Amino acid sequence: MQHPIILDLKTDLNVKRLIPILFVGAILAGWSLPQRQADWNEVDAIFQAKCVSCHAGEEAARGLRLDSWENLVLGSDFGEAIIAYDADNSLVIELATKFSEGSHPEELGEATLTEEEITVLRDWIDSGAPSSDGEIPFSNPDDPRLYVANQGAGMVAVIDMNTNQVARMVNLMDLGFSEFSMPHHIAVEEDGSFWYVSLIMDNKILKFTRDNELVGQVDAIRPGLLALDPVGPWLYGGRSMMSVSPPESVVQIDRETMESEEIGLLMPRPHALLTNHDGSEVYISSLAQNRVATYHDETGDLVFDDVEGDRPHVFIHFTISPDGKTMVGTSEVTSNAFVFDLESSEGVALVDTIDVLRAPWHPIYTADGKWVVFGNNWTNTITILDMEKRAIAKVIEGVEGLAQPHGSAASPDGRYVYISQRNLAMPDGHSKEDHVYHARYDFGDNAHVGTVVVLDMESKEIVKVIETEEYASGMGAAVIRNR
Amino acid sequence: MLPVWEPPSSETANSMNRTILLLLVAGLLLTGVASAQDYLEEPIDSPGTITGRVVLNGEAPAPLKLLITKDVEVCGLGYRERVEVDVDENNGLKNVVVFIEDVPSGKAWSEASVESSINQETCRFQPHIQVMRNGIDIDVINSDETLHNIHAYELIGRARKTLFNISQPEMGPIAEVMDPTRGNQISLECDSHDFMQGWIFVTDNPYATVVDEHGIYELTDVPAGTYQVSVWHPRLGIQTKELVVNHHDSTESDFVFDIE
Repeated sequence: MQHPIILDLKTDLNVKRLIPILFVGAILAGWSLPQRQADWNEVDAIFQAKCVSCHAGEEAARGLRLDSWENLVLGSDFGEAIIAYDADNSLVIELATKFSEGSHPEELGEATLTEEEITVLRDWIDSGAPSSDGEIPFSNPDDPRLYVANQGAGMVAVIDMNTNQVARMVNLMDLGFSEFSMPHHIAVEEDGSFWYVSLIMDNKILKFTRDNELVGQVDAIRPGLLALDPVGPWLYGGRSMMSVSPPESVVQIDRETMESEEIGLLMPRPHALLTNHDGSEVYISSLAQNRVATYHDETGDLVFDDVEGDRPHVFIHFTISPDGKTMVGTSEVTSNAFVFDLESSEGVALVDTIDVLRAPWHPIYTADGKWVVFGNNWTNTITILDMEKRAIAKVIEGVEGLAQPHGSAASPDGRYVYISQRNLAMPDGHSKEDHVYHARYDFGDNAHVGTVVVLDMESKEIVKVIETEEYASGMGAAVIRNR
Repeated sequence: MLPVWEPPSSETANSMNRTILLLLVAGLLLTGVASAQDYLEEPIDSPGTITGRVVLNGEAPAPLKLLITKDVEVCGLGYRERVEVDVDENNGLKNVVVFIEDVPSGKAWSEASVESSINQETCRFQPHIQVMRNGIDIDVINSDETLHNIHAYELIGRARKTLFNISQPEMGPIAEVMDPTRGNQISLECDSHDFMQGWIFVTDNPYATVVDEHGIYELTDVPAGTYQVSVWHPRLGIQTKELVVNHHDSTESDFVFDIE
């Protein structure tokens, strides 16, 4: 019989013998030695030696200026050069370590960064990329942020809407969620203080602070779209289309306590979900039935309004006009934009139907109430509806970056509309050709990088394509969505 | 209140029958269905056979990997691999239809030629590719516990036109007619699942077949004569060559699709 090993504290407990034990223990426990704190002066010296010959001044390559901390933070014509606290996903590190054409700028015949220099850059970025004064990029709480669920990567990209570049990346796997958690949609408090994300396959809805700290979570079966009550305490969660027969209910969550109840709907496959502007009514529609359910929060009443059709329309999502009078809903199978009058004495009354290209996805009203914008998921296009004429004003197609559009959001001033792109290599709905956005730089693992295209509503042109992570899907902005 | 239908008197019925007959004949001539019926089944004197193999010259492109984003309990979770150009280990090309157009007469249709169906199962069109006789009644079957919306398109050059568009929220069959008027290549898609794809070739004579899993085909009981024999692959297009069939003889001809 083996005897258990017993540590004799009286004889073995001396500091000298404990040091190696603690050291090995720390390594086994996954700890690491304290990270070296690189400062901006060291980083600046590297940039001055290796980078500013091209990346400085008005003619800087790709618009990226590495001649000051402020200019670095502004990024390039394409987007961010670094993501604070995330060296792995920062372009300067990826270009130096993973670029298929060689360690940049080696492919241009220039001396590239040494291992030591890359380590300095990594340490500096992972410690927040502070300026010489200790300022962290994009840490002003008043800056508007756009949150993008990356359904194929288990990540949420946080975009600074002033500069339209990725400011932070929230890796849900680092927080213990699964690789296939499938973050789908995001709702953001009006003051930006908290944001919420649904995880389809992990059956969770999470609550984060503005600083991306996880502070709450609640169970919800196959959650899909989220909607915030702008006045009351509720967050509503619908059901994902990933599931054929999810519960016939939506989840009503107290945002303070993150405790939830279910509101039974007696309607299969609830999907589209939105509250009106005072939170008194919640509109829900179904993937399986042609009807809109209105839940009255104060009374608990549920009213159904049928929508004509000889087949299931398969409602995707809603948007409500800034004046709160009109709601537009999109349908996947029948490819319509339905215009509903929310002030009718007859409930949610259908007043117009606009035929659009295939599979209109998440719609968004612009702040002036003149336009509704959505991507057409099956035709790789973006449609702009003129809501005075209730007609298509413009279809944007053939532009690099359009690949299975999905989510939508708008900047607080209404100038820009954002449409996320799944980029899953699906055949085009018109030509059956594979429609893929090709990442700007081949890193071997980003063939299907998801994107967010930025649409300038003044010119009605796409002015920027922001690369995020795989399968960019639902989005939320720090303004009440659709208001 | 709806009017009640009453049977017509015998005199009226005779008059109506003549009128209906005339209308039917006129209708057949106008719609071109008559031409689809032009093929005559008749005894063949010492028929021959056309056999061969369809091969791919070059490397087949990697399968499309399409992420399933809907109804995962039925369609499967993860990626659907869609092999657009499928070959065996010797580059024998699968999913090719071999056919002869403009055969005025010949062997009888098989009994199975009027019993075609399209099955939608696990969010796939099954079979992936098939030949159907023009003008027949078919069953469109939903074997999945979810909504399918089969959308069949006639392919007309680079254009396409809806042949039928059926919503099937419930499981089971729905009757449809396979009667394209402008094209004989049919693309099957589902308006509810963008990763689904199937193909049909519609024929006016019994001399059309899908190659086997090695790209091998056989057209039997072909009357002696000279024919334009074609092969159609939905992604690689059509090739046609002139072949001579002799009495009691087997004509062998291979087809090669080049791919860069």
